[in-house]
Amino acid sequence: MLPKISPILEVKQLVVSYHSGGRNGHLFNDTLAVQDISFSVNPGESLAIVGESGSGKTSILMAILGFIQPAAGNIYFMGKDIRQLSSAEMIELRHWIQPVFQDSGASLNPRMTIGSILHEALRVFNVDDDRQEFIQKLLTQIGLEGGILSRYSYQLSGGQKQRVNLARAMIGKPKLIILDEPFAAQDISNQANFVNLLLNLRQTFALNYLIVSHNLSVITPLADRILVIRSGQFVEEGPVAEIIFHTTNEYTKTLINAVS
Amino acid sequence: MGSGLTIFVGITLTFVIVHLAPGDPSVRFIDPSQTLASQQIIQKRFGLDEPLHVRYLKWIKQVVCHFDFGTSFYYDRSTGDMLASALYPTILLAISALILALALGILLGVFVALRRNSLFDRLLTAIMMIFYSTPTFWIGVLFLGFFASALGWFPTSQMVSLYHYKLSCLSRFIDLAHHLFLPVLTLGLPLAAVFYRYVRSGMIEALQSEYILAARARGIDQRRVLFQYGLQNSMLPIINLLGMIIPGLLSGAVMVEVVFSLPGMGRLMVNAVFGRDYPLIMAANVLAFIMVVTGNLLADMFCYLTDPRIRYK
Amino acid sequence: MMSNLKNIPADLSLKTGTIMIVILIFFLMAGSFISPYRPELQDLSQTLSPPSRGHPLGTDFYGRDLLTRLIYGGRITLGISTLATILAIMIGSVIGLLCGFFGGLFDLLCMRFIDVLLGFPRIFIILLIIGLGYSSLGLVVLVMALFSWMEIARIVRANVWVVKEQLYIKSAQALGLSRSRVIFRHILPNVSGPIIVSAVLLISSLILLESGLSFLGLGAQPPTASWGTILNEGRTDPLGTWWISLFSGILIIISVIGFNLIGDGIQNLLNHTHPKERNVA
Repeated sequence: MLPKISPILEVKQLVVSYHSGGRNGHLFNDTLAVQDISFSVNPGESLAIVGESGSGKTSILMAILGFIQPAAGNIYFMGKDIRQLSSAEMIELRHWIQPVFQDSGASLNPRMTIGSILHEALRVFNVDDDRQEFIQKLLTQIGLEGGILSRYSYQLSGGQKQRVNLARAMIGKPKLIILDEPFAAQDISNQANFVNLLLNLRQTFALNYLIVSHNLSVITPLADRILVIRSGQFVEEGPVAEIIFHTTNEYTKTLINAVS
Repeated sequence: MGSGLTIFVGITLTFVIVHLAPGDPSVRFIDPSQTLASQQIIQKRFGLDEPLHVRYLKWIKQVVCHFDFGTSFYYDRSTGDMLASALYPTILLAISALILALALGILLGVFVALRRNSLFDRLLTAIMMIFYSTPTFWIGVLFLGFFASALGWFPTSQMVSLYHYKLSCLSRFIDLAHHLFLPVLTLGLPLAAVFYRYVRSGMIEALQSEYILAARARGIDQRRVLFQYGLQNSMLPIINLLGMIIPGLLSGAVMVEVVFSLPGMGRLMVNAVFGRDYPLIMAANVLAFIMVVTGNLLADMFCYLTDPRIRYK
Repeated sequence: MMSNLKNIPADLSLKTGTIMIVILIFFLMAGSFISPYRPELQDLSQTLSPPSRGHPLGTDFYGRDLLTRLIYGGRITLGISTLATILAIMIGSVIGLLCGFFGGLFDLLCMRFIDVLLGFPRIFIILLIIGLGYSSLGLVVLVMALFSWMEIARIVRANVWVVKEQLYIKSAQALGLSRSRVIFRHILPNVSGPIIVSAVLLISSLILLESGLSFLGLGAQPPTASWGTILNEGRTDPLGTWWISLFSGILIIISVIGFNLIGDGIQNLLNHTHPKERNVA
C-alpha cells in the first residue's frame, strides 16, 4: 500500500464574491467571482490555472494567500485549513507559500533599495548562512547582477523587477510559489528566457508552481496539470498532455487556438 | 441620529475639561482670611462642595431635561438668558462674514483665473496670501486704528449707537451695518482668501484641461460650459470644507468681538474664562459645540441637495 | 521621488518659502551676534523711541531694544509652534495609521471621537484650559498639540487606505512580516509626504494661533516675550508706537507665508511625482 501523499495545496468548492453593501461574507448584491472551484497541487507537481481576464483567477490566488475571505469553501495548505488559523499561525505558514504578483513594479516598496528588500526577507525567514553570500548566490542563479542591490525599483527594467520578485519569493525556500501572469508583460524572447529560468530553479530547489495565465502555450512546458476556468466556473482539469491534445471541451479549444 | 450622541459626548467632555483644569472659582469670592465656615457657605452656594460625580449627574440632568445651564457665578443671571442675548451678535457676525467671504472669494477667484498670470492676478494673489497669513486680531486692530480712530469713518466699538432705538427702521439698519462693517470685514477677508485660493486653482485646472482637450475654440458656448464645469469643480472642495470652517468662524469671532467690543458669545466666553465662571463657560462651550454640529448638519444637507451623486448612492 | 527631484524644476513656491524660512532661522539663531543688547535690559531713558541708530527697530515701553526682543521672541514663537506640531504629528500619525490599517470598531470609535473633538472651536477649548489654569508655556504647547492632531489623523488614515492596497504591502504581508512592521516600516514611509505637508502647514497656523492667544493674554507671560505678546504691546497706540506692532507683525506674516509656501511646494512636488497614487491631502 502506497502511503497517501498529502497535497501541498488543496482547494475545495471555493466561492469568492464581491459585494457592494452587506456585511463580510454575506451574499448580498453579489458578483460571484469564483464559483465552486476545487483543485489540488501535489508535491512535485505544478499546476496552471488558465482562463481569460476576468475569469476569477486572481481572486483564487488572493483567497489562497489569505488576503480575501472566501464566501464559502475550504483551503488547505499542507493539510491545515487556513481559515481556522490564528494570525500567528498564518504568519508561520506564509513561510512556505510565496507570491510573485503580476505587476512587478508595484510589488516592490518604492522607498526601499533592492538590497534592503531582500535583506528584510532574509531576516523574516531567519536564514542562518552568511547573508551577503546567500544573496549573491541567489542573484547569480536568477540572472541578476550584484549592483542591483543598491538601486531602487523604479531604476530597474520590467524583467529585472520580476526577477527580483522571484528572488525574494525564493529566499525562504518555499514549497509553493504562486505566479500571477508571469509572462504577460514580456515579449516572446524574454518569455522563453524566463521559462527556462523557472524550469532550472524548479529542478535545483524542488519547487512547486501554481501559475495563473491566459496564455496556454507558454505555460505548457512548466505545468504538469492544467485547470481551465471561465467566468469563475470550472471548465475542466487534467494532466497537461490530455488537455492540450485531447480535450473535447469547446472553450478549451478556443483558448488553445488563440495562441497557437 | 448620530448627532445626538455626539452632542451628548460633547457636553460631557466640556464638563470634564472644565473641571479638570486647575483653578478654583470659589477663590474669587472668598477672602482667605474669612473663617472656614463662611468659606463653606460660599462653596455650598455655588454647589462646589459636592463630589465630582454628583455634580456631573446634576449637570447632565439639568442640561438634557431642562435645557438649563445654571446660573452664572459672576453675573448672577441665568446663563441661558445671557447666552441668548449674546448669540444674536455672534451669529450675525459669522454669517455676514461667511457671505462676504464666499462672494468675494468666488468672484475674485473666477475673475482672476480667467486672467492668469496677469499683473492683477499676481497682485491679488499676493494680497490674499497676506490676508491669509496675518493674525485676525491684528487685521482688526489695524482697521480699528486706521479707519475708525484715525479717520473716524467708523465707530470704534459696539454693535449699535446709543441712540439706536430712537431711529427709524431704515436708519437702524444703516446704523447696524455701519458698526458691523469693519468687524465683518476683519472676519471675512482671511476666509475670503481661503475661498479665493480654492476657486482660483479649481478654475485654472478646469480651464487648462479643457484647453488641451478641446483645442478648437467653439466660441462663447464653449466658454459657458467651461465656466459651469470649472465652477462646479472648485465649489466641491469648498462645500466639503464648509463643515470644517464653522469652528474656525467661531474662533475668529472671539477675536473680532474682543477687538471691536461686540457683545457676542466670544467676548462673553473670554470674560467668563477670566472670571472662572464655570456655569457660563460650560454653557458657552456647549452652545458653541451645538452650533458647530448644527452647522455641519446643514452643510451635509446642502451637499446632499446639490450633489446628485450622493443622492443616488 | 528621488529621481524626480532632479527632473522637475524646483517649484517657485518651494524655493521662495525655503529661502524665507532659512533666513529667518539664521536671524533667530544669530541673536547675540546681531545685537549687543539683552532682551530684558531696560533703559528707561529711552522708552518708546522709534527706530534709531542705537536701536534699529526702536524700543518698547520699558526701553528694551525691540530688535533683540524680536529675536528672542521669535525663538519662543517658533519653538512653541514647532514643538506642538511635532507632538500633534506623532499622535495623529499613529492614530491615523492604526485606524486606517485596522478599520472596524476601533476605527469607528476613533472617528466619532475625532468628530466630537473637532466640534469645539479651537479657541474655545484653549481658552477653557489655559484660561482656567496657570499659564505655562508647556501647557500651551500641550493644549495646542492636543487639539491639532485630528486633522493629521484624518489625512494619514485616508492615505493609508490608498497605500494599504498596493501590491508591495501585500507582498510584505505575504512574506509573513508582523503587522507592526508592515505598518511602521512599509506603510508609514509611503505616507510620509502628506504628513510633512500637514506638519509644515500646521506650524504656520499655530504661529497665528499663538499670537491670538497672546493677544488675549494667555500665551507667553512677561517677562518672556513671543511675537504675539510684542504685537499685543503695540496695540494700545497702534499709530503712535507703530514700530512695535509693525515689525512683530511683519515677522509673523513672513514666517507664516514662508511655511505656507514650503507646504504648498512640497504638496506640488508630491502630486507631480506620483500621478498614479495621487496623495490625498
